[in-house]
Amino acid sequence: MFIDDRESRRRQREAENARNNRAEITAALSHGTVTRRELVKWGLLTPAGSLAFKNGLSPFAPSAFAQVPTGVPRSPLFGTTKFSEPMPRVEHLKPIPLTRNDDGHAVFPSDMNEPNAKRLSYHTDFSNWSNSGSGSSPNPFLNPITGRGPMEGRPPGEFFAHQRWDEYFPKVGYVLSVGQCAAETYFNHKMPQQQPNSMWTFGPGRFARGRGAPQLIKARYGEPLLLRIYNNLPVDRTQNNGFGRNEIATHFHNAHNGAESDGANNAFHFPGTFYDYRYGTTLARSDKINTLATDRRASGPDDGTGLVLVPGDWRELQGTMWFHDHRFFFTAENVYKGNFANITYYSGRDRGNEEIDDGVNLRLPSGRLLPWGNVDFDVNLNITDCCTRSNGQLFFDIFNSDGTLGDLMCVNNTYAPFFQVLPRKYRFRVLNACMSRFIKIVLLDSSNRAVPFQFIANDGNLVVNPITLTALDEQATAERYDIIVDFSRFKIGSKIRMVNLIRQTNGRKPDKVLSIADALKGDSQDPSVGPFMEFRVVGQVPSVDVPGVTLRYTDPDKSRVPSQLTEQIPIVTPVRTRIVEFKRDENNPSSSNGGCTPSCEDKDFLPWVIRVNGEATHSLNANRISLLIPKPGEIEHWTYVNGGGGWDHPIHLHFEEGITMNRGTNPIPATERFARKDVWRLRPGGSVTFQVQFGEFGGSYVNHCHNTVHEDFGMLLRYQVLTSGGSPQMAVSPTPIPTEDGIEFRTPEILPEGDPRTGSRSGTG
Amino acid sequence: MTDEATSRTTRSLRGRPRPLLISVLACVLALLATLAAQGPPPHVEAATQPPQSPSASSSPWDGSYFPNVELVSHDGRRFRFYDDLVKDKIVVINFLYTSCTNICPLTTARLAAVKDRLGDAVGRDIFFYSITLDPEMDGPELLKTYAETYHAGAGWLFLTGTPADVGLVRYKLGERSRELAEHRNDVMLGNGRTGEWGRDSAFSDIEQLEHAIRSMDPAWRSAPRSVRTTGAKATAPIDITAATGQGLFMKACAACHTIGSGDLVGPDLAGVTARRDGAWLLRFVKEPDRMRAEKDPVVMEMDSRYPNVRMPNLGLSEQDAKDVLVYLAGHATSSKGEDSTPGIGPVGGPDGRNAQSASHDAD
Repeated sequence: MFIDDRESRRRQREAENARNNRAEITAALSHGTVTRRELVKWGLLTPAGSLAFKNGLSPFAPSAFAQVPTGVPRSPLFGTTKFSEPMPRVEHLKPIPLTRNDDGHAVFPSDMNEPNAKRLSYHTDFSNWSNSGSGSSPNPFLNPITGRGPMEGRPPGEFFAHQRWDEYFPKVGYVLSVGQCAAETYFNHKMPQQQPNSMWTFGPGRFARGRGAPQLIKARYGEPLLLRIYNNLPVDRTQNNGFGRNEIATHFHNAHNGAESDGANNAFHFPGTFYDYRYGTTLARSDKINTLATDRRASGPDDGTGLVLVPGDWRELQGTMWFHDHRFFFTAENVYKGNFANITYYSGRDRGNEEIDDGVNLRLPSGRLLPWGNVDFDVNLNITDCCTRSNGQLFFDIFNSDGTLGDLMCVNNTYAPFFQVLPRKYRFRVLNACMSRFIKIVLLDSSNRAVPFQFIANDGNLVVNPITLTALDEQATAERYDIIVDFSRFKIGSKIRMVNLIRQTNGRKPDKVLSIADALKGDSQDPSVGPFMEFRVVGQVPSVDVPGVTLRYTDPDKSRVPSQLTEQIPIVTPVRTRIVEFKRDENNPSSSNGGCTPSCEDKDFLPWVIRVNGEATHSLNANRISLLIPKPGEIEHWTYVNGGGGWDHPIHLHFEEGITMNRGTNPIPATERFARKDVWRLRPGGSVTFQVQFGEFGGSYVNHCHNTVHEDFGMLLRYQVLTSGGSPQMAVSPTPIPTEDGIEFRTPEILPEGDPRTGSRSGTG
Repeated sequence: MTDEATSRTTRSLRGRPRPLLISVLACVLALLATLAAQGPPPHVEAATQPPQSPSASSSPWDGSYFPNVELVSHDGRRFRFYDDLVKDKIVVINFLYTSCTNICPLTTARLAAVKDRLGDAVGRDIFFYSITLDPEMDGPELLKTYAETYHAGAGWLFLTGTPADVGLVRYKLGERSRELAEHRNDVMLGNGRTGEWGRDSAFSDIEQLEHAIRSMDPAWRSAPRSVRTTGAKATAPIDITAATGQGLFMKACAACHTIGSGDLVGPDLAGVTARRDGAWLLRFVKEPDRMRAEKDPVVMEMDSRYPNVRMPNLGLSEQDAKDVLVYLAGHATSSKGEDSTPGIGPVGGPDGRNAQSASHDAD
């Protein structure tokens, strides 16, 4: 899909034409310099004219002119090479202490001039002011930038009030802004700076602008937090350099939060507004297991070496997570543009300190200078693929519905960086933050031998026993793999490369896994194959945790990788089973060639068809509830089926993790077997079954394809979790319809087969 | 934790955070320096890019992207795609083919409902285009009949052309299915003046779609409006024990049928469960295309009365179909004028309110 850099200048130029779609194909056709017959002959158009997906018509399609696939020009490298730029560490966001006032509000330090955080949205105040007839005086809750609508984007009323506010009252706050990138934002210092509207990223503070490196929030169990996100994007939404929508919604993938803070229920917000997300750091099953918080394993680190015990099931402790945009229809554009960040949940078990020996702490590689949350040896690697126009500015084809692939493999938004390590154990939290690309990672030493490492967590959930691997399993978008690499076997001066083995040339699915030798040779059509990061073993590095301190290879490595990291949650007989299948609709008689010619030969493609317990078939929208969870605590078994033939889809379930049981009759890799996950690659024609239960919070959530391009084209379905005890979420949430002037609500439609309470449709229970 | 707080600066070349003003200044200077160092862009854009209006400068989705091939409308007029149909216009574009038996008719009917809500703006500020995916079959005459069936009216063109031209347009608009039947059912929204493009669904809330379409106009976006639903009212619980068929009826049927408010695209369904045999009706709701192929006499008779429109196969399961019929039976004796009952009016009624908003107000 990408052409080789060694191609002739003419071909580069020609391909650039295709990318910019000044391609002669367009001009020539309309000017009559090529005939349509020639296009047909070249295979661009079938005689029927219904297919025109091949060359030259898209920046991502191979060239129109040469009969062989030559593709689009590579993103220009401006003379840089791989491994010439150090990898920036993710930027730790400073926590802000919050206090509670008599009204039950969370109060920021007074010098910050931040409005108090409240259980109910300021939209409620805004609406009440409007309704109270105070119309003559200016509404104090107005969006201060645009003068229209409420200052907070969270919808009004009880449904979007923070659930269990007092119980999980936020102790610390964070303020982030999504806005134009700052100066000196680049993928490599030799590449052009990104223009302010080429990347829209998180900046640390009310008016702060971010650079490329993602932000990191260090959260800990027992310390609920409030994340205030301002939308500082241009008010004029056309100022986006061709992609990205200035309306945002932030999804915390995949923490245990109320739907009002899940960020994926259509409650996006506009420039000038903020949205208060309350992340309770709630441990799942806190209403059901260890409710008195007596198990020391269910805990977070305190400020010293002690523990803060919390209710819930310690086997459901989470670690490596992230948050990113979830604006329906624009998620891919916005995330690609830079709207994502890391958040790590620290627990007593996994506290980010490798020396504290209290019988609970696992002492995984991290560091020792801070009582918790050390990252000197615990490193977030956010892997993305992007591409640029010939001027070096980030580019995204908004008309490509297959998926978006780039030719610049970046880590923490830096092109093919290097990273200095000491000869000791490191933990890497590897996130595939691409839009559509699947990756498969190996580590190679200087002799191109695979370096073994230990796999310790899948999607932020520790596996029961560390798994020694020489290659990671395939990794789809949004999947997180935590690995431990022991560099102590290497001499100072050694270099170890991180290599991608998967060749992928369209967004539908990977082409194939290459051998190490082939991957190292490079691939003329997919430049993202091959090495994309280099670790350099050095004798000393500066500390990130305590700047000024130098860490040396002579320091003893007291970190451990215990042989058991957690306990298995047993698989039990479920209350009900559900099957979610996406495919063309086989129940539709028109697809069966059943004697209804001629028209019945054609069938429509419903990209996202759901069947629950054998029933059939609907396409979805944000206002439609496909699955209803009638009450908390009931264990269900879900099966996701990819009936759609040749595509692959990583499916993401919000809010709860599932224990991966099987992949039907297909083998299941060790890294997945009984592992808790929130994104599953279904594989072409494949399926996956998992055990899941819901609890503590309720409201409207979604599950969807995390190929965000597919998601934006409708592969998303909504499910509703009902609560049991007195909260508004005992009933179905209304669907918010955000406008610049405030939220309107709609009544959702509920698919009858999604509701296990309706007669014949009830499950096995 | 103060040590941690200062640890944000990392070992990258990016340096320490700077005060905003200095950063902006540095950005501008650096940008100028970059431009000066590079000289004229080495790529072909400058030579081939047409002049752009200032407001479109940040969008690559302009006349250099869209083809200017010739399309023919259902009334026989010829248009160049970009110059005549897109440039300087707000457009709503979907793809269909007249022989489509599944979702296309429903999409068209839903779009018709949205168009009604948009009123005079259509044809003046906003233009609807339905482009056939089957240009060899769908000539202007067939499209004309199709347009009339759905009461398309002014401001809505049904377009065909040579297969090559149509293929190019659909590809450029992101309709890249490999088979006719795989085609997308979402709707493209564009503004040819500003270069903004987005997607929406004809199956989402009609008012939301109306808002999304109007929002393509920067002038409309900048004009404040009052929102209807606020405060406590918004939190009224929703009764999910309402007839299960109601949601299905609204989604799948109400775009074309009323219950007691007269014919729309298809016949008025008041009393239909009494008029027709139950088993026949159940099958017809599930698989009208197959019954038509079998030349079922009742279907043949209906086709002759509604010659230009065929009930599509909506992919309803047995239980779905039963639910819809139970819902219809519940309204079998509805008198005309009982319009306040949720879900039985047309989606876009003459009073400009739709069934879903009526349903909401009834909460």
